[in-house]
Amino acid sequence: MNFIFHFFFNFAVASLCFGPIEAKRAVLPIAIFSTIIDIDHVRYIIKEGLGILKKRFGAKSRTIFHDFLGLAIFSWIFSIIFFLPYRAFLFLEASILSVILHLTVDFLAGKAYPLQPFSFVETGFFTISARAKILLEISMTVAFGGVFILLWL
Amino acid sequence: MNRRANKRRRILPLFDSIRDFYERAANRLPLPNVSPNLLSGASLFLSIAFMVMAFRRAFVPAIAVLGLVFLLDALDGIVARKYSRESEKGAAIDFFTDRLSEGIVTLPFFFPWFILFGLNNLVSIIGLAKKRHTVIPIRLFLLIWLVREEFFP
Repeated sequence: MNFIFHFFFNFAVASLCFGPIEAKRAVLPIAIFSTIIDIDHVRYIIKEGLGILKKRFGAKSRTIFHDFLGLAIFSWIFSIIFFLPYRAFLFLEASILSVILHLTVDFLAGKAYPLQPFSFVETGFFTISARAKILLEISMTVAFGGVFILLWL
Repeated sequence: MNRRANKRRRILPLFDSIRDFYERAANRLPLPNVSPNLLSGASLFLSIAFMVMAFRRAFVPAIAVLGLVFLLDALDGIVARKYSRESEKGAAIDFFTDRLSEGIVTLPFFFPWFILFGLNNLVSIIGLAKKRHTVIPIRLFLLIWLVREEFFP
């Protein structure tokens, strides 16, 4: 899924969890941690160049940060942050929520190597055509964009 | 070393016999021939529902949903074995969905549960490196703790 969808979706779930007012307060960590994981695609974009338009983002575009090892690394980082003396707990929870939901949605929506580098078994939940996938992604982004506007107002 | 090996030899048959008992009991149940990955995916969605309920302090329905998550987690393996649908891909999906689900359900009860989740990730990585399935059943402990807190304070 694209990073705009991740932000809209994570904001909607954060609003359900913390309430819309608290979610608005934590909008910056939600925005940062909803999108930061996708930075690992940059390496793939540079490598593939214009070929990316044809190939799209498959399992090969993901580094360990999109899979189990990434989840583990983030869990350790956030666990350490918890023990620091100056921390805003709402921001910490919103950040973790954004990271975990990003990984969950990408795992459900696309192909992945969840256990890399220990195993390179490719997994995928849905077998739909690329065209249907793009249409689904656009419609979901627009729908959650609408939800975001409603929650923000 | 020898004493540890002897202890393992004594304990492991006990776990195996418990596992055999519930596998035999589960095999008699009229379970539908659905994709085990679908069950794993459903348990992820239910984990998100649990997280929202727990953040909103609706603990009784949250406990019911966590019970369902746990049931689905047990069923995906049973269904896979019953209908001979076991695969390396399925095992990878099951492993990663379990870790994601643990991260999602422990988030509302941050300390010590999320820290335990971080520790569990470390244990899992060591297990993966040694090609052994080693995990701490955090969700089971969380369920027991929640039931105790809610119904037997």
